[in-house]
Amino acid sequence: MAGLDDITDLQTFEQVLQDRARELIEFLDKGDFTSAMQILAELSEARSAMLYREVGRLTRGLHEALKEFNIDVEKSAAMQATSGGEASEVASANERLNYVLELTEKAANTTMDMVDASMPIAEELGEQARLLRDDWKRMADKESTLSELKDLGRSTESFLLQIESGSGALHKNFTDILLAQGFQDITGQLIKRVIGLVNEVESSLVKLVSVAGKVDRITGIKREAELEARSQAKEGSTDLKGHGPQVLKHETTSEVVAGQDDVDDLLSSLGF
Amino acid sequence: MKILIVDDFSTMRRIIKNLLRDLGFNNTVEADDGNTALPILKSGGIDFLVTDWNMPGMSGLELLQAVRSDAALAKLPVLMVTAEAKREQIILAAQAGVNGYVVKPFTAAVLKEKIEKIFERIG
Repeated sequence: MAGLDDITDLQTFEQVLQDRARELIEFLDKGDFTSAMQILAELSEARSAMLYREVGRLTRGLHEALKEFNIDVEKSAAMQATSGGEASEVASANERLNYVLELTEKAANTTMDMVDASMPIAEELGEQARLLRDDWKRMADKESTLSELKDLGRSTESFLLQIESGSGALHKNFTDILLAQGFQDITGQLIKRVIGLVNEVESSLVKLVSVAGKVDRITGIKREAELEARSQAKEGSTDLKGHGPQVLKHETTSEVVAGQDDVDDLLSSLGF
Repeated sequence: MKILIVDDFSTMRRIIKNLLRDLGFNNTVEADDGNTALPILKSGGIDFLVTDWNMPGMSGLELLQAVRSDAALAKLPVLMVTAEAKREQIILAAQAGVNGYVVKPFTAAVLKEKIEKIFERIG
């Protein structure tokens, strides 16, 4: 958007401004007000022309920037009204972030559910172990009858059974907790894509700011912050590179599989 | 049985590694994309490849294609575990010679089933 020509234009304008200002002072010193006024008029005209040109560039730049991050204002408005049609990048970024929220919430809940289910098992095993230990201690402290020994044997066996089933349940819960951590991979991919979009928006805005800066110089408006333009190569997304996790719900019906069962069906239809 | 797990997210590698350990596969190595995976594969000793699709650098599909076009690796069983769920992509993976395809998020049972099925077929 800001080529070398523009800079030369602006520099020429400033050079002309300096040269003409000197002439202006000379004319004023000599008392030649007619020529002085003529220079003022010329400068004013040149400034206006320059200003129009830069404002024009700014407008075009704004338009391009909007196009670059695919914000179609009319379409967005229509989308909000009908909630259909093709989503803009920003709308899909919103959808991605919402999906991140959904996934993280689900993972947190799954993990806490599993912890809730596991705690009583661990507590119960601990409690049973304490009771059984008391029984064994009593047995060691006194003479025992055969039937008492048999009872102890039975309760010990039932405790061992309880440990077996309890550890099985704990193992299953731990596996579920482990799997729930898979959210990090999917949310990570989604967030990376949103970061990419934010970077694109940022670099477009920085370009706009540099064009606006020229308008500022011509009009004499002063700004405090100066931003450096950063150019970010837009990453091509090909089929080889993958598309990332699927978020958009309306795609699910046609081009995107609904789950593992669909994958299996599709693969078996391909002879797998 | 030595298994190479390729995923750019360390959490997912850890999850798969743990699930594989549960299934009795204790010998695993990890790589974070196709570019780091390929040298490991080429140095030999890997019996099974579990790979993600969408990774920076070399993607899982590109890795699969590289594996299939390498005479020494062409027969290596490959399981894709990925969030890529477009039909055309699954077909693309099948055409490239994938042995199994698991979509994320998945369950331990699904992973087990697919791995067993792959080994069953290979014999």
